[in-house]
Amino acid sequence: MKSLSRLGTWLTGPTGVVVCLLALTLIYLLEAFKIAPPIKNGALTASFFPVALAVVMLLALGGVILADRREAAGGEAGGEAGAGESDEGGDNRGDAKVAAWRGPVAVTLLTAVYIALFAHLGYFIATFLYAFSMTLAFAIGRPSPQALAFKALVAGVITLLGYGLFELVFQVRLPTPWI
Amino acid sequence: MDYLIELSKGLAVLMQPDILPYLIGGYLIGTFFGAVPGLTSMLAIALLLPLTYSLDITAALVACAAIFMAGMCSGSITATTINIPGAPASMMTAIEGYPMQQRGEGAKALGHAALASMIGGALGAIMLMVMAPLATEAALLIRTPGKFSLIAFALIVIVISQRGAISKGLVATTLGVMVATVGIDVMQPVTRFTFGTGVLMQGIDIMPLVIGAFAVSELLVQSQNRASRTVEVDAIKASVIRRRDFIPPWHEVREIGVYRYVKTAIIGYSVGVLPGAGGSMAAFVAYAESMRSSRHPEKYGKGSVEGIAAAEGANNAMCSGAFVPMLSFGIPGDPTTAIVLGVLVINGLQPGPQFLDSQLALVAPMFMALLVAALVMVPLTLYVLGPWFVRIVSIRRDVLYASIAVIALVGCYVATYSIFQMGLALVFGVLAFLLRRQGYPVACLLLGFVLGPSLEEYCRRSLSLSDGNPLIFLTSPDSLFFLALTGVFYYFMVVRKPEARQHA
Repeated sequence: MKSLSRLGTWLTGPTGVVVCLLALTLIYLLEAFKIAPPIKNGALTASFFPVALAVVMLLALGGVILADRREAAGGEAGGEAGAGESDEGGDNRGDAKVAAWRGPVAVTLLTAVYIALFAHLGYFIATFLYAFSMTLAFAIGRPSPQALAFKALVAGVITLLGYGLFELVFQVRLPTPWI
Repeated sequence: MDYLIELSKGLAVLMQPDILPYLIGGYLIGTFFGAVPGLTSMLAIALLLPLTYSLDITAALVACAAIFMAGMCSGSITATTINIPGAPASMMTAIEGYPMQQRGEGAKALGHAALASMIGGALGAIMLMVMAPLATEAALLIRTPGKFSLIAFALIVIVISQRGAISKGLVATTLGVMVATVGIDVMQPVTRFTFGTGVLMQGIDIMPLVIGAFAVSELLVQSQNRASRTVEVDAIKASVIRRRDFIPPWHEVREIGVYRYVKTAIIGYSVGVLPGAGGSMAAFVAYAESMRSSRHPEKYGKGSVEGIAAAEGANNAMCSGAFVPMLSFGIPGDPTTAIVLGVLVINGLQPGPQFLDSQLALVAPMFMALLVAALVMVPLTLYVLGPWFVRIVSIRRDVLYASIAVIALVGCYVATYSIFQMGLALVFGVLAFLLRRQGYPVACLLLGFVLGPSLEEYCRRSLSLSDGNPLIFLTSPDSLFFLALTGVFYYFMVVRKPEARQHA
């Protein structure tokens, strides 16, 4: 579990983001070469611009890596005084990092489930459940039964207002499970 | 003369009962989003984007203009009363407004902010109406290589204006352009980067990108915040404001002077015309200039009404300036006008040199909306809502963000009736969230996406015209002009700046 959270932290950290973008750019570059050679019979092809973009992206990512390294070197030089902090502090920081990720992960998963079920459950059921779960995702601590009832009420009102806005005011059809 | 008649017709259209509610509604929505810490008027326009599919284009443009103008001045209310700028453009106002609030002069500070917003916004709108036809005529002189260099100039200035994060700005901009290359090629019937799926054949729509980058990513950012309300209850109790104190004393208005109001409006408007600058830069430049030329620079930072007037006048004038490159050249300089461009494109309209002539009837109500919003809505909203404003913007975060999530995602669906578009919005949201966490400017992603297709088209057309000879960009006078301009901007924004710091 710890190694998984470490992997997640690395992937979403400065190096992880650069590595992901680098991988994305390389896939993009390979796909661009698959379309056609950039110049054919002296004329530019559909892959010319994407290849040029990929090169610019690789250079820009190189610039980001250099800037990050320079910043890290500066931080290390300035942070030597604080190097003697205990491991306990490090563990607490790790826990805090994991806690900080709970919200975004929850919101992403809830949204993905909502999108997957939207057409199947229809607007009313899917949106009510999504709005209710989002009020829980933005809640602090464990909500009391009264707070849960209030959140359910809020979710119902949001669902109805959404229906009013889209279906009645803007006259667009929302999915229903019975059609 | 015809132009003036069209503008007056635009005012008449704006006052029609089916359009006016969009001005008022847009202004109120923009005020709310601009004032609530964590929300921006850009997010409001992003949420409006899906609705424009089923909305009259004039109404949509009027609503966008009202939201844009409202978002600029409403941030000053929370900046002054509780020292939390509702929008980044109100940061300079917080520096001067909050000390006044602590001295019991908060209402007066808000009055000065509203007056300056009113003057700056109105002068900006007038300058837009005067300058837009001239810019359009200038745009007609630019040929294909020049168009490429102009777009390249805009993108480069957007990147180098990301102070301290130029490489990251370049990454985000290039990523935006890369996303825009998905789908059918701009010049040949060839599909690119579809990975064999039919859903990507038509390319990626602006809407999931806007919703993802600005709404979904904001939800993810805010889910890390553990506060229960947008503004804490203690802050509401501390900010008591009476309506009768809003009117700024005449001697203080005279002390600020007509010249300063006009100068800050011109600064704000000019900054707005520049790509990538935005309201915060307009406010900062005008504030710095006002302090430099002030007879009482020692008052700055301790509650100077001149400082408030400069910052607020400039950021509202910026709104109109930002429309000039978008309408005349089809080049949006900031994310808000990029979304407005999206509204036009969704409705089958492409801004450019001919746009103002052919579509003035559509655009004139928007020009008038900027003017009316500045002259009427700014003071009216402050007078009516001012005393309760901090109470209004203090709302439960769980209710607020659950509502935004539903509007954003359902809006994404209703625009195209596509679950795939909703999924794309989530993907772009997560991507933008990760980029934002590492300091990559997400606005650059959108601007790269919007400008990318034109950049590619003009690049390839120019090279086709010259049989692949890139020297065409140096031999064409208009292209050379924009390349030289790029060099000048690069020198002043990147090269000279560090030198100045070294000497300091």
